[in-house]
Formats: sequence, structure tokens, C-alpha cells
Amino acid sequence: MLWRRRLGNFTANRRGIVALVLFVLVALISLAAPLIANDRPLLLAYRGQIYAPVIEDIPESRFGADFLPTEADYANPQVRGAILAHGWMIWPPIPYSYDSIVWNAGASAPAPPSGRDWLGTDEVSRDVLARVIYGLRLALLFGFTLSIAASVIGILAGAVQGFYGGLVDLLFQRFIEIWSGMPQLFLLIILASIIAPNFWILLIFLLLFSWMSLTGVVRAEFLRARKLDYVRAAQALGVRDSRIMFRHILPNAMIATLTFLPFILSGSVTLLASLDFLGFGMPPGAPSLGELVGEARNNLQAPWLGATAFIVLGGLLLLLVFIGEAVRDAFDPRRGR
Amino acid sequence: MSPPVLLQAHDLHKHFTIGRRGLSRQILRAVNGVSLTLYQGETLGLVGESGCGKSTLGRCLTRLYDITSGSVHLDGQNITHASDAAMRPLRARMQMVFQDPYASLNPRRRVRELVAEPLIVHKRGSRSEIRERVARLIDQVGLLPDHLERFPHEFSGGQRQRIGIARALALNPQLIVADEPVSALDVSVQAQIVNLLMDLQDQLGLTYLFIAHDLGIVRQIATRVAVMYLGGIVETGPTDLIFTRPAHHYTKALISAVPVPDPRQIDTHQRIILSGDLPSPMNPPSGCRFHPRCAAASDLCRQVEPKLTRQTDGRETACHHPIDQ
Repeated sequence: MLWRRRLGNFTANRRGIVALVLFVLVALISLAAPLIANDRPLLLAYRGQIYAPVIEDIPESRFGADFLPTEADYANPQVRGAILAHGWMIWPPIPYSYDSIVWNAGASAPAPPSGRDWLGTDEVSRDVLARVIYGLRLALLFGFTLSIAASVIGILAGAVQGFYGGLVDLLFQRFIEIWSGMPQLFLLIILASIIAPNFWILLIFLLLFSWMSLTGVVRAEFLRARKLDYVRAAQALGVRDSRIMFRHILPNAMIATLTFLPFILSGSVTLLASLDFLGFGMPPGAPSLGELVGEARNNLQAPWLGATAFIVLGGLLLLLVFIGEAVRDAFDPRRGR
Repeated sequence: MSPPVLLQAHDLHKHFTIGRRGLSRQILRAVNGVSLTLYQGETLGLVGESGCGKSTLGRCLTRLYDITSGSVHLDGQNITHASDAAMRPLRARMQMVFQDPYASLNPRRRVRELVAEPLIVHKRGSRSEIRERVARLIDQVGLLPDHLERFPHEFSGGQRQRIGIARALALNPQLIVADEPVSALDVSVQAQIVNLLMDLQDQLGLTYLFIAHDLGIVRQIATRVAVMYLGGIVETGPTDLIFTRPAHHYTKALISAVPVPDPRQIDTHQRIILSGDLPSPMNPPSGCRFHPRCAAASDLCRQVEPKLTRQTDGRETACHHPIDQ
């Protein structure tokens, strides 16, 4: 009943539902990135046999005796000609992956948008559209993983803190105050000078600090709930603390948590983009939106870079904020029924 | 010969620390030296004004609160400082019914889950056995089988309290501490719940500690009464004796405040109106805690705290100048 009302509230919010549909669309496209932008054909037939190069590596020597037994380079005109002489190829809509070099762009890199490179190429002559699609995938995967992991840790910490209260709460609260005062960026710069950060190292490092965003809300909810009669009743029944916390209180605290999730997600995406912009994020060459912003800054004569970066990053964050607002309003009990 | 002792508290104290000003702390003595015995099969009515520490005492006895000092024995076993793990099996023998049936049931769980929870937690039987037991309990407290799949907010206050009672009965406890179980309910519903509790006592041989401020209901259900004032017990004894011939001045004033149902008696009924408010338990009066409001107070009362002493008629009274019988 309650959930139906909330769902009704959510669907009644035009902007929220449009944002959600667009976001799901973007997410699906980016998750399917290898099928949409790839430097290998989706399917090819050669001498009566069907291959799917997207999922399998095929040695180049398969297509002619005078090629080397290395992985086939389908962009090579000679290989292409050899395959087409005895079969056919189906290419994805964008025949470039995020790291494939566009040859013969017609102009020096970065090349302006053309019929072949719809958003032009970047400063090392890679197709911008392909990089944007892969970049979105990376941003969303990173954002979701970080948000979910941070929420789980934040909820656990807030639950323990609020449920036990007293001295535990006092000490924990002081720890959070100190910990949140750590200069995250400087630590990351130091870290980047010691090891090259990759997806997981960066994730774990950012997790060290981002779990605190939910702790306060959950702590407040548990502080309130632990004095409620039904929690006392459960204690009188001999229910274990952990069961009380997660079966009795948490479901009632989930609302506050859920409404925060889209905002945490957009925060994570922004964080990754800004780190990449500064050069302390993903390893060089990885498709990232932040790196695109950086290239746009270095190549002001190529405005398509800046425009793309702005629209993609801004659009994504806007969608997330719209969804977040709609979710928050849907859960607001003061809103209509 | 009196029946065996089920629960015994000796010189129980529960102090709360209220706020801090610099280094000094304010201490609230909610329960201040209570000794109490509960015999098997009886109903002990615990009465007193709001704020006198009745509920705190109930929660100390069930170890929902940590005890500051003193001791509690359940069936001869010392549970004063038993750990959570040690308490868990004992909790099955000692259950609580709470005052507010709106707050004591988790709004997100169905009746079936609420009543089954103690059985699951204490691993009483298989799934199907628990299902059967829940159905029996629901029937026992006068609810219908189709109520099982509903949520608490779909019930009236009286029905909710029945759910709370079913949950308390699930583990076959010996003792039920009922903390003002009817004071949140309508008068007509109060009688139903009290009757249900009395029927269950007959069927199951339960022992009740019945906490209430409504003396009429206590007189109906209790076999013995303990009167509490400002954290201490001032008088205890058989219900009839206490109600007809109170020996403590506070008990007498309390009983005189019960409305008289027969208008013809109003003229002969003498109401004692106590002067002043309940003193703050943070700063209790010296000597007898009741002396500032007592008509019979003497210098002795102001200086020496009276001890609960057994009288010839079986009651115990803490008063230097008890009312002559």
C-alpha cells in the first residue's frame, strides 16, 4: 500500500521518470559498449566459416598464408581485403574501440567531427564517441561499485554507532570527525607517486573516505529507534542485537538510505572525473570522462572536445540529480497520496 | 504455607545519570532500595503515581536495564549481572507486555512474523511446528486465523494488545511482567484485556507482575499489591487488606482518590488531597520520602527513613506512624 503510493508519487513526477528512462538507456548503451563501438567486426564469414571476433581472438594467419600468427588487425586494409575476398564482415555502428587509432582522419589530430568520426577525434587521434561510450561505462561501473560498497560500510558503521550509543557513539563520532578531516587529495597524490592506481586500488582508496556520507543518517535513525518499544520488546524476547539491528531497525531506516543513493552515485561519478582530470585517477589510456575534459582544456582550438565533455558529464549528473529528487519526493510522507 | 518464590529482588537500585555540569553529575534515583518477592501463580499489582519508578523497576527485573546495585533472583538463580548470552535462555521464562500496543509492535512485520519471532529466536521446533503454535496462540488470545497475514496498523488498540500478549505467551513463560498493559486502551477494551489475562493465568498457571496506576483494575486482578512512592515500596500486602484498611498514609490517600461508583456513598467518602507535588527523584527529601506531604509527619519522619517491616496481619509497611487498624 505504502509502496504503491510511493511508486505512484514517483511516476507522477514527469521529470523524474523521463530522467530514469534516459539514464537506463545510457546505462544499457554503455554496458553494451563492445557491441556498439569496437575495432573488430561483430561477425565475419571466411571461406564458409563464421567467426565472432568480438568474443574470440583469431590469428591473422587464418586469413592468408603471408600474414603473421598474431591477433588479427581488422582495420588493416590488407587483412580486410583478404577477408572480403572470401566472405563478409558485419561491423558495429562505430568501428573503433576506445584505444584504436583513427588513421587518415583527414586533418591533424584532434580532427573535427566528420561522417566517420561523429564527434571528431582527440589529441592522439582516437574516436571521441567511442571513448565517450566506454568512458560512461567506466564511470557508471565505478560509481555504482563505490556507492554500493560505501553504503554497505556506512550503514554498518552508522548502525553500530547508533544502536549502542553512549561511549561507542562518542568515540566513533570523534574518529569520524578526525578521519573526515584527512586531506584526501594530497594522500591520493602521494599514493599516485608510489603506485599507478588502477580501478580497484582507486576504488578501495576512495572507499576509505566516502563511507562516511551515509553514517550520520543511519546513526540518527538507529539512535531514535533503539528506544522504541518494539525494539525493547525484541530485547525482552531475547533477540540478538545483530538481528534487532538488521531485521527490526534497518528496514525502517532504509528509506533515508535509499533517498541518498542517487546523490552518492552522482558524487562518485564527479569524484572520478575530477581525479582523472587532474591526472591522479585511472591509468593513462583508460577511457574516462575526466581525461576528455583535460584534453578539451589543452586543445581549446578543438571546441568539439569541450562541448562533448560538458554535455556528457553535465547530462549524466543532471539525470542522476533528477532521479534522486524524484525518489526523495516519492518517499516524503508529507507529499500527497 | 506460601507457594514457592519465583522472583526475588533485594535492595534494588537503578540510578540514571542526567546531564553533566562540569564535573558534577546529576543522579536520578529511579529505583531506590526496592525489595520484592513474587510467589508462583500470584498476581502482584505494582501501583503508584506516574514517575515513581514502577516501569523502571519492571525493566530492571526483566534485565532490560542494567542494575546499579542490589540483586535479582529468578527461581533461585542470580540474574543481577547475567550477560546477554546467559540471559537469553532465561528470557524465555520471563516475558513482558508493554504499555503502548502501537509502539511495541514493529509496523513492518505481519502478525505471523511478530508472534513467531520468539519461537524462531529460541529455536522452538520446525517451521510447521512454529506455524501450528502461532495459530494456537492467536486463537488463545481471541484473534482469528485470517488476522495472521495482516500488519499491526490494521488492528485496534485492544487487538494489538492481544497480539502483544500472544507474543509474550509464545515461549510458555512462567512470569509475565505487564507494564501498564491496559492504560493506553479504551475503558471497555480494558476489561476485555484484563479478563483475557486472568483466563490465561487460570489455564497456564502464569505469575504476573502487573504494573498499573489504575487502582480499580489492580483491585480486580491482583492477589497482592505493592505501593510505590518515589522509587521505594511503602506498603505491600494482600489486595483486600490494602484496599480496605491501608496502614500507610500514602496508600490511604491513593486509595481515596479512586472514584466511587455509588453516588449515595459520596457524602461518607472522604477524599484525601495531598498537598504539594511529587518531589524530584534527583533530590529526594530526607528521612521518610513522603514526609513533606504527610499529615502525620513528625521529627522522626524527617530524620530517619522508615524500613519496610512486617505487621501481624501479613502486610509490610514502611511508616513510623502507621494508621491504627
